[in-house]
Amino acid sequence: MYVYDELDRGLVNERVEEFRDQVSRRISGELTEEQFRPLRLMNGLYLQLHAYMLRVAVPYGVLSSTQMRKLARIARVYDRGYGHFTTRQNIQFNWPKLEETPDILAELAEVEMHAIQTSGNCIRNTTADQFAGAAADELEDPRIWCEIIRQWSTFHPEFTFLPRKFKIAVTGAVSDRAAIKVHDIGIVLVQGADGEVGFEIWAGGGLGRTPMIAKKIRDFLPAADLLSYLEAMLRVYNRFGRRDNKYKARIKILVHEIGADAYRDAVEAEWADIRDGALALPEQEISRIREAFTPPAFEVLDTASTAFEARKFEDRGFARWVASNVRRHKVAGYAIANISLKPAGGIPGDATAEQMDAVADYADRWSFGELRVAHEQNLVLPHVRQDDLYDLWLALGSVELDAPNIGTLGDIIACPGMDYCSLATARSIPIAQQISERFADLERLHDIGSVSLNISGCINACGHHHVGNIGILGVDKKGEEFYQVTLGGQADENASIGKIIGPGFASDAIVDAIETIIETYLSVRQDDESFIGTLNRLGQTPFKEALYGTA
Amino acid sequence: MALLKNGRLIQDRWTTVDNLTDALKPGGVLVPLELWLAERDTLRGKSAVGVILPNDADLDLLADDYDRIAAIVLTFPSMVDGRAFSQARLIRERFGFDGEIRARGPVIADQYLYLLRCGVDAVEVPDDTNVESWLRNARRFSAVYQPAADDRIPAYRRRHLVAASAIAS
Ligand code: HEM
Ligand code: SF4
Repeated sequence: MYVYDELDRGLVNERVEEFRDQVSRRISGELTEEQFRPLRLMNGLYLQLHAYMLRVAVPYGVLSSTQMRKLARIARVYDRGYGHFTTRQNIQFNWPKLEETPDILAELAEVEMHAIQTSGNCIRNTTADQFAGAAADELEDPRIWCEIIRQWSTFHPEFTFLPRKFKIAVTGAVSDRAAIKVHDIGIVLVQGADGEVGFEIWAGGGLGRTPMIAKKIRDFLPAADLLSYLEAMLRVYNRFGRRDNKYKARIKILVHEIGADAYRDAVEAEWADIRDGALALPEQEISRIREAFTPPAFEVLDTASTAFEARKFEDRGFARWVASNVRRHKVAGYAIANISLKPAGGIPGDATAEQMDAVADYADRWSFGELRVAHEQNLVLPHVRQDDLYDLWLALGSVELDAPNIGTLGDIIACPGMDYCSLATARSIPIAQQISERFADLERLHDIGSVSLNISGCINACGHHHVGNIGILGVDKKGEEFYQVTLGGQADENASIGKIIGPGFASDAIVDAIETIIETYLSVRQDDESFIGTLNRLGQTPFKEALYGTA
Repeated sequence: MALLKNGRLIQDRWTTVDNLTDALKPGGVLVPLELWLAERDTLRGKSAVGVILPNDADLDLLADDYDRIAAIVLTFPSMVDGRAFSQARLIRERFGFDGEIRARGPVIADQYLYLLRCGVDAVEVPDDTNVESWLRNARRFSAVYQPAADDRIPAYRRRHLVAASAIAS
């Protein structure tokens, strides 16, 4: 993991002092709420329906056990004993007091954490593949480049008051687990002609009320040019992105309105002028950061562990958990263990302080002290010996974190919705809870197999409903909550936006509608075809007929 | 309005005018971009002329003028409209302008560091401005992560400077 040097440490501490100063100037009245708002947002502090909400950055989803314990402490001391992991690999605390937020930030700084640029119209926390450094299909660890971007984008003097928020995602693997095509900028690590690592660059993806898949801007960018190219991309956006309408201010609208070619031309022209300047990354710095992500001291193990195989044979519950929650690791004898934060009937992404502490202990015992947050709102222990999986599973069970449902219908992404959010037009958490309860039967859940279901409580799409195989959008229809269903969304390397299937459903009918969709799939699927496979083969018709009858 | 420049609050000696007659009176004047473009040949004869740029102005329009203009006023319609930050850097770094770049609009102390780093060296502020607040913000951070229009060395280079004394400075 990256460890702060004295420059990094100094900056984060100075930021805490700056915010302490801003809070006291707000309380004294020197700053108006209008002036304070953008400042607090850039420190992750939102005003929600009932209270302030503090969003803490988990840079590219990576946490140490020490950091996780600190999050547990903050949940316990400053909040109501829990935290909420988000689709942007961050964590949110829902009940902090304004006066206490500088103290929370000071505690975070002790463990090299912060809330810098987790909100506001600036470059947000860069997200990455949650299996970075562990995935078997990885070209290089994307965290190296995320950390370089994190530093460059932090307190960027030119890009702190952009037209709108700006999100960058990076993947180093063949399978895109970071949803890079629905980000403002998506970066894929690729190999150049001479075998060196460089980047494929995408721009203009996004969700919200105008969902768009990103356009490819460049096939290959040499590694040392990463920052100058990003600076050119951001400068064109800062100067020419729309500011007249906040819903048209994202870069996706600029790229869409002027066209990807014109955007690319403007970027390349800008880049030509700055490419050889001070932004060219020194090889020494790339090496320094690459070293920070040197793999931990893996043991040399056999690919297959007989003990592990025996345990799976003996214990069906364990076998089921392995089948859904464990992924292949790049090192023989190791595995990636996903920890589902989606118990049937639970609030997606919530974890209690006790669970956070427990998971930190498991990371120390079984995963070199490392943890990850996935954009699906789950946690990951990236480096577990296959031989340790059984003990891990038992331990997870003791804190109710053993739900065997990663990638299944139970693994629902949901935004906070009406329960917390002032922009919501409908509730999303209770719908997620009802659906996961309806499909709580594990036999059935695993028979249904891989399907993503995402719920947003309004058109802003924080719950990624556009890119769920099944998407649910809560809307307000004459004072009543209604739920619109889309089918066919995908967030991976085949990214696509789901299509609305028909009229929406009332809150007491939406769960039945989802069940009808699933039953339809089960009745028409071929062999072990996935939900999305069936949908792509047959289109929406059978689902439409099942839901609305034949016209 | 006063002017915050070089760490001090000073009296603004420039007058903003909107027509040629006033522009040709003695003393420093700040003129709108359109007036400059229309009367550039006449105005070039005068030493102390500054140009007021809208934040969506095409900077190439002044390509031949940067060495003849004494000051450029960048416009911030609101504190969160950050287009002029890019303009400032381009005017300094690409066009090599070395006169005064001033910020006009409701910017606040907490943005001072960003303004300075982008090459703005003067800010129009209310007469009763708490200068200490502004200066504290300008000095707040002991390192920078990226190059800009100032001469601060970004962390990714500073870390690798051989001389330990350079790191301490
Ligand atoms: C009360 C808190 C929140 C507010 C007020 C809020 C507000 C918004 C708004 C206004 C947008 C639309 C932006 C646009 O289209 O330009 C948006 C998008 C988004 N938000 Fe939130 N949000 C909140 C909580 C969350 C949470 C909890 C998550 C993660 C679980 C999240 C993740 C996202 C994502 C991923 C997008 C859409 C993707 C994109 O286009 O970038 N937000 N949010
Ligand atoms: S999608 Fe809407 S309801 Fe849900 S968190 Fe975002 S803004 Fe709030």
